[in-house]
Amino acid sequence: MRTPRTALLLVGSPKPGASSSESLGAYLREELETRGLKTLTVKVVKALRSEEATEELCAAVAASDLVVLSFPLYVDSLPAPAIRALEVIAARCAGESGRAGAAPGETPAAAGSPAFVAICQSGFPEVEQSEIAIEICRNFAAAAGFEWAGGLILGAGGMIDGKPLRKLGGMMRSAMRALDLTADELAAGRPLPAEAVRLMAKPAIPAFGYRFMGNWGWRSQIKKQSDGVPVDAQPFA
Amino acid sequence: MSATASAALLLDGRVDDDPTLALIHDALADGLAAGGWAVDDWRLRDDRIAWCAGCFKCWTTTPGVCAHADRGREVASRWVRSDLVVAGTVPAGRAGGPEARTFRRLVERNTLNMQPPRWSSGVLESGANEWDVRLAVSALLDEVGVRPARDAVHSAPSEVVA
Repeated sequence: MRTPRTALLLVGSPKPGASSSESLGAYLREELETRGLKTLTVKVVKALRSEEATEELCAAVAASDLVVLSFPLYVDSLPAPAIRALEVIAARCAGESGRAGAAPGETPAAAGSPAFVAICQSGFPEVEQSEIAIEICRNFAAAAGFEWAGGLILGAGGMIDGKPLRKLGGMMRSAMRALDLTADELAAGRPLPAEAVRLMAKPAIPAFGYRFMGNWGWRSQIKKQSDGVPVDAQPFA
Repeated sequence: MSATASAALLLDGRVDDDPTLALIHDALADGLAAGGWAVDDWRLRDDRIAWCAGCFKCWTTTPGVCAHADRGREVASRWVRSDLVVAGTVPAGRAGGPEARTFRRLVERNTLNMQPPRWSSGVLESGANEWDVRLAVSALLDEVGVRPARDAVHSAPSEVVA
């Protein structure tokens, strides 16, 4: 892995506003900037709205030594717009540079290839839920000619709620430490350390507490918003 | 699966006219029809189906109904009329995803609304996959994925995974 000078943060959340994926990615982007990297953020939903925006996405990828994709887990995988963005990157951007064409796991990235990092967060307390999505990203990196630099998984991501990590303070201490370590290593041209993966996976609160708060929160929202329709309604039955 | 009804919903997630995939699709559709099934053959790429925006309104505001008013909403209603649902898709290009984006949108749009929160075991229970809760029926679901080309992981040149 080469020492990066430029980094691109791809925010894979389909939400139009603030998202937890963006919070995580933004923290890492800021830390990379403090270590001297020039950075850029692109939201994939915006990049897919027009041909011009997609071209800008491809240009940004081509100009980056390091690409970080931060996304929410959607049904064991990446959200549809993130998958679309990866398809575009693999087919067009990587193809233009002659890096595309290999099947997953077949061809290691050439020396000097840009690095690819994935950060996946989900509402599940268990990090295992996101392992398939990270594997998908690893396969993408291999097939599109990126050097896979590792993946981070955060469980119970609902606690972030789109807020900046620094504002959440101690609750996100482990996640921030994981991202600090990640920035240290990536900026030095090294892949993610195992300690960063471990720290990111460390639950901020016990799973039962998270579930309790989650249930309370959903009940509360449904009571306010559903106009009396029961949560287990069967509108098509 | 009911004893009398024989309705099959084919969710055709192909993204192009690949002849191998067409062969599989046609054989399935024709075979079901020949076997007496009423086949609802839905080519997803013909319809504009937005991706899930993660708003959770299908849980909180209109339980069971997606907030986005497009044809993605129809899956649940067509599903409930079916005894068999066959979802056909291809892996997502070099992204290596389990489903192409066309089918992916449909999966996203119809997972939460078919699967309400589970208070008893916690909203976020591992492995929850009870799509029939909302629909009050249990259609058989068969998902067919086709890998058109050989890769390092799967050795067969054209492998059907069901």
